[in-house]
Amino acid sequence: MKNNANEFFEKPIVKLISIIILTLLLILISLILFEDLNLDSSMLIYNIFGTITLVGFLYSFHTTNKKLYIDVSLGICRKDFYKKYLKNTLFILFITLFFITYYIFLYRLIIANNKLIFEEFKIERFVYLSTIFLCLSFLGFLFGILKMKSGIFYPLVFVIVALIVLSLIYLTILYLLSILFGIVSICLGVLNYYIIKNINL
Amino acid sequence: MNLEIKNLNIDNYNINLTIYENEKIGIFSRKQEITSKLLEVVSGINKNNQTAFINGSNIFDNKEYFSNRLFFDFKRNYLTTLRVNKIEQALKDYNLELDKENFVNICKDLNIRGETDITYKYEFTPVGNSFVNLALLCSLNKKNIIVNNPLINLNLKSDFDYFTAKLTSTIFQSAILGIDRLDCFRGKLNRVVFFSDFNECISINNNDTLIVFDNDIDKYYLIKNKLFKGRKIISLNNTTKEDLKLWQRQKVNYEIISLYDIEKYLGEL
Repeated sequence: MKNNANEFFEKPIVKLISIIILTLLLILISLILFEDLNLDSSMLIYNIFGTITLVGFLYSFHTTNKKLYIDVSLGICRKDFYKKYLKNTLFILFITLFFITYYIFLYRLIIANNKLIFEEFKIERFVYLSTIFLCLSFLGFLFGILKMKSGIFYPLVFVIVALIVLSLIYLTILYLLSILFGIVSICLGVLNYYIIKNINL
Repeated sequence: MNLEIKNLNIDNYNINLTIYENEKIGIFSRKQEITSKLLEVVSGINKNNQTAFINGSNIFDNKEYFSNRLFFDFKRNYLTTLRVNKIEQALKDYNLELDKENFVNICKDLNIRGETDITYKYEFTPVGNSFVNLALLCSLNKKNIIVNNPLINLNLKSDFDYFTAKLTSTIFQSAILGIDRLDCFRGKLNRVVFFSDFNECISINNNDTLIVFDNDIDKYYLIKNKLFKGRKIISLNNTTKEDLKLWQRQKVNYEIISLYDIEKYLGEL
């Protein structure tokens, strides 16, 4: 009986669902706890995006830098490898947007007393950050395939993060930038597919 | 599965080779990168410019071919744990099944734990890494293997014998091995493919012999089918009885050797 329970909780899908439920609970608790502190309503959203962007950049880099060669050695062909990577990346974005929607909904319910969403949250920033996430993930993927040295890659991560933070503080034409980064991420996605089909590992 | 390679160019070599089903073949070159490049093409990992086919299909990134073969470079780290349940779980992403009993038995035979530092993670010594790679390779129930650097980091004769016995055993239908120590594979391979010093790729059968001369012999005699020139000149043994009698009369120094003894006469590159 104990073994069956252990086996059940070891399944990846069970772990994933548990983490999602835990995250939803933590968002709820953070809203209740910080209700009185009058913090910036978007603070948690920036934290979520910041985390997934950084993780996505690093994950993508390591996926191609180290994992790709082992995957093809053990029987995964390049197309399947790229499809799986794309699915994972888009899934991360989808889950993030789900958490953010849930947070906005709860915020309206608990704190904002049903004020309009656009009065509290700058939606153009979330669109901008979503395109940044995709762009950086695909860029990390590209750097990994090109075997960029870690000594160059990690300082670059800090520079890019700093630039994104500064852009959020000082730039206002974010819809235009979102479209630009959206196009860049599509181009990077296509470029990555072409490179991974043809490059010698 | 007969693997056909036609007019594949690697560096200055033009390769034409057929690898038959149920063959155990070795690839030997004085330059390790040439062996690596060929094995990466043969395993379908890198492009072959329409020169490598199996059953008429190009093997590059070929899903069906990939599902029937495994490629290992024993220089690389594939595992960071000895916990079979974790390994089994991780291998599900690759649609691979682990024969846990076999894995555990090989780990015990090789005493992998003696080559592992177990703290909050498993750290294998270079020898331990080779051990664990072999254990994993032999436990994945794939019939066709391509292995580079199979004996890397090993020092003991018992380990060489164990590895060569496993890699050339009947558990694998076919094996293509990038040879790092040729003498350890004595009598265990069907053929060895040599990349000669003269830009030729030559396949030699297990029982064929080679002939070794002093390295200035070609100033006085025309030596055909040369393979290597270093400390000695090594060529294929296609000599006739008349040639041998002539050399004996003219007191030419030569020695007929097994192809597995070639490394003793190679000298520095």
